Amino acid sequence: MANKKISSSDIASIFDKKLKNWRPQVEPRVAGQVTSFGDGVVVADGLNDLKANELVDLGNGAMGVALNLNESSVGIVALDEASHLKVGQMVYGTGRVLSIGVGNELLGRVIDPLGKPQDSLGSYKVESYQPLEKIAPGVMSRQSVDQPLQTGIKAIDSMIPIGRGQRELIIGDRGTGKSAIALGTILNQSDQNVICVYVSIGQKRSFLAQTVALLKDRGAMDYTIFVNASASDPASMQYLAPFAGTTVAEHFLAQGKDVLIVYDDLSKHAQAYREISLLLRRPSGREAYPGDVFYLHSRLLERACRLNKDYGGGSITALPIIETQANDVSAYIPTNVISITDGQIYLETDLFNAGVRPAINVGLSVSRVGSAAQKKAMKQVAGPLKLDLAQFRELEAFAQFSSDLDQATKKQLDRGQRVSAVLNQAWDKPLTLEKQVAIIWAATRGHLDGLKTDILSEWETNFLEYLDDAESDLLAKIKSQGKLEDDDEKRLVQIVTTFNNLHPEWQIVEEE
Amino acid sequence: MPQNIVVTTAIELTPEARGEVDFAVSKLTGESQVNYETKVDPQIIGGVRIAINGRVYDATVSAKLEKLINQ
Repeated sequence: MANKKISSSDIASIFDKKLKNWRPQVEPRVAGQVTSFGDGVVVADGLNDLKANELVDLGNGAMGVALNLNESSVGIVALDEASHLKVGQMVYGTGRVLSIGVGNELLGRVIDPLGKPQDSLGSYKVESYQPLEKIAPGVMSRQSVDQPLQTGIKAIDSMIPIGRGQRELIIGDRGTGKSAIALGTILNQSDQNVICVYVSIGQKRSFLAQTVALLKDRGAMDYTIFVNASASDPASMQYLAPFAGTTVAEHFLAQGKDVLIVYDDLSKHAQAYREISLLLRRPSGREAYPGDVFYLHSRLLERACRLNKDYGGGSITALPIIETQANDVSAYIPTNVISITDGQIYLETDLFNAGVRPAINVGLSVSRVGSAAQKKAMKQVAGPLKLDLAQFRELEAFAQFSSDLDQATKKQLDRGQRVSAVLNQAWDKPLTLEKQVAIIWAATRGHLDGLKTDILSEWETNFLEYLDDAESDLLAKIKSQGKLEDDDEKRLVQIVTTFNNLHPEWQIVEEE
Repeated sequence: MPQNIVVTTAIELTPEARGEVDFAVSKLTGESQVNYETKVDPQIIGGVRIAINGRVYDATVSAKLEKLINQ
């Protein structure tokens, strides 16, 4: 490196030169004076030609967004503390609407809703600036969902399949594993050619740091972007975060790529918007939310799409998360988002406490469009699954009262126990489609009925290892053809029988 | 259309300065005779700020200094 010596007099002369040539231009600016400021909301008069959603320069490098335009005043939401603001101070319109710099270098980064890096990796190359609020793709550019998005979670891929371009809500009380489902899905995209955007709204910074470290550890950060507005960030940033995340996702959509976006979570987003709206003195409606909170979420989730070939063929799959209070799905925000999305995954505390992982309530969870995208192999094996489980849940409650059960009922109970045991899965251990098919096939075809129920997770790990070691060509075959043929099933029967015979200690010994 | 014009200076306008401001304001608005409000604000240090209907022409020393700092 050239070691050029710079003396202080050199610096002074550089400054001198710059100052001599400096001629400040006086340009007319849209300006106004602060009339009140509090809780992050600035009211200013003047600012006559301001546009809606325009960025406002609050001085000292602070920015705000104009949300309310009245005849004689403007309501501005500050994007940071802006603690320097005083009444009477001048604020200026910038002529720009809120936008974020996007680029492919964003992969693996953590940014805030305005595109400022929040990790220590420095700035990223901005390819273009895109507005946060965009109109969703129109009808003619869209196509129906026809490709699966593999979550790697058996219970979801088999019974509540998600397609690329779908919007599937994850809903449940706190601590039921909502984020875990989203993160497990991100982990599973390592070989699926899907870019992931994780929008964290009002979450703890410790949770974010932990999550980023975990994804980095598992190599998932290579295709993941975090857009973060933490619990300590102003409500305005939390309100903007999902829109910023979607704009980032649209950058990759424009390149014809498949993107998965997780909004964790939209209840906090609605609360941030409620806070802003109340401070702006907008009339409040049910649960004190403003009247346009439905539109807030519908215009956001409408941007999830599957584009047809003429428009690049990319997709944005949205997994919004909603946190309920005491399982109340009929509260305002949950019902809103349920009606906007194409289905929901409903998690329950009771199931979670009973050891069901993921704690999905199969009866209440649906996917309205995903089954069109489900792979044939999975459709073949998963058909009886929902029925088995539904019958089991019904009988389970009933069987608690009586000890004498007829053979058929007992058989159904046994089957249900095994099927639900086999759907248990650690969130950070996603499975490939072919492995899921093999396991669900074994459970629904009754090949586990002769095994003890408490060893089923052990059975699963060992069986998968066995398949990997001895029968990897069958797995590869299922993967490539996407369905099970008759001779594949015959071979599976052989494999399972041989494998189960290797472990006599797992068999139930019939007592006479 | 009635115009809302505010001229801010650091010290009270002298008669000569007022003539110059009259000229500037009529040039900016395109009208020969305009009434405007004057304000004195020592915070701007020097120069003049003319606000016409929410559009501000800021030629004050304080604004220039701020611009310089931000560069």
